[in-house]
Amino acid sequence: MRDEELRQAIEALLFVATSPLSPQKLSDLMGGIKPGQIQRIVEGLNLSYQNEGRSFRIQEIAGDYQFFTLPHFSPWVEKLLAERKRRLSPQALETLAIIAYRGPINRPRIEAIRGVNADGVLKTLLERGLIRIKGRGNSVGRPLLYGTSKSFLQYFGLKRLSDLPRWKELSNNGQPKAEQVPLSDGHSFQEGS
Amino acid sequence: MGELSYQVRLDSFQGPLDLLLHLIKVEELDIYDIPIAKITDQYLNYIKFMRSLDLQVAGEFLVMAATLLRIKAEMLLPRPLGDDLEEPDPRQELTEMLIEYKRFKELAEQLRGMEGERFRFYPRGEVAYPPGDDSPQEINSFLLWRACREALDNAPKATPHTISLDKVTIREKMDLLLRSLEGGREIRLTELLRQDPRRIALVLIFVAILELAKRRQVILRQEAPFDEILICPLPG
Repeated sequence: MRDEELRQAIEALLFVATSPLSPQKLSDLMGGIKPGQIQRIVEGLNLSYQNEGRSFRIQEIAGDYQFFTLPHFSPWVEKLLAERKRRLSPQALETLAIIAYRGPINRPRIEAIRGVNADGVLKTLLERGLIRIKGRGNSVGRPLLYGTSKSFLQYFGLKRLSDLPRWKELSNNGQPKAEQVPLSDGHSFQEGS
Repeated sequence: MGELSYQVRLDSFQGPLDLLLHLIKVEELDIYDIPIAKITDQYLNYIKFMRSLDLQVAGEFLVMAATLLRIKAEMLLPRPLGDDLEEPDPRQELTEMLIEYKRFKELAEQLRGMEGERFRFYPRGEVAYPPGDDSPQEINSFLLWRACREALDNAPKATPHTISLDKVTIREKMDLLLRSLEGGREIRLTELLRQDPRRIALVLIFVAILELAKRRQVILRQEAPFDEILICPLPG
């Protein structure tokens, strides 16, 4: 298969697909080309879209490829779809932040950090698919452990969990804090993982 | 700050830690050296204010109030001089909690920014993200009113439920009982109860029997404990 044809075929597949396509899936469909090659082809396609002034790009989200319209066109697209995306509530975001940076984590720990009951918000996040149960912990009662899901990465447009903003030094009303606080217990948030 | 300035963010505190951080911020206090007496007063004022509005104060807020008062008390106790300098500051645990919570609050704000940016990208093939959210932000009084109207319109119409009045009186049952006993016959209680199984009738039969026994118009007999109760006419 010629390079140009390969490029066009991948574009065709992504154009028709109604859900994100994994590099593995694309590789299988294209007769076993390497994922690294797919990444280069996608980069090439995006470059040509940019040069031609197109309104969309192929993005890699949570490890999968999909076409997205550019933010500039969102006012019109929004009208077409006649839907307003509903933002997560502050308690949902706080809980997600804790789970994303400290997960897998159990409910008592989340509640200790937020200082309030987390029953309802965990249920909502599970229903929305933004978190998943990752197993049970070793502490008393073997509580359920929560972690972020693939939908979490998709929701925030992340390739992987390590693309989350870095854990910034905490400012205390403008004064920098003396020491850097470790990122996590080392469970899930590791640079370059 | 005056009490009224609490109103601005009344419903937006995520919990007691959030409230404390807010107080520390508006009062420009040092989170690493919290004036505990001052913050406790402010905090309790806020709780009092919430209650004056008839808002239900969540239990977590009250637990924190107790914690603040305990720390305040510990701070007032004279601390031994000299070799006990190593003793931890009573505020230590609270400060650590506040710092940790503040960090996640900041991270949540970053996620909020990412969410907003991401909302402007529309994927091909996918119309929307899964619905369902606990956020109350998009609701106004009109929407609430309309939802209420719809719910009322869709609610099944109330069908009148008629209750027929059972016209049974104690007098009636007493007369019936006395007539049955005419001719010196004995009646078993179970037999009597079988005649009219309606609940109100059963109750009234019991009351009638007790009333007649009290007036000494019948005698109640039982051959052995837990045996059949017999209702007998008065001899003679």
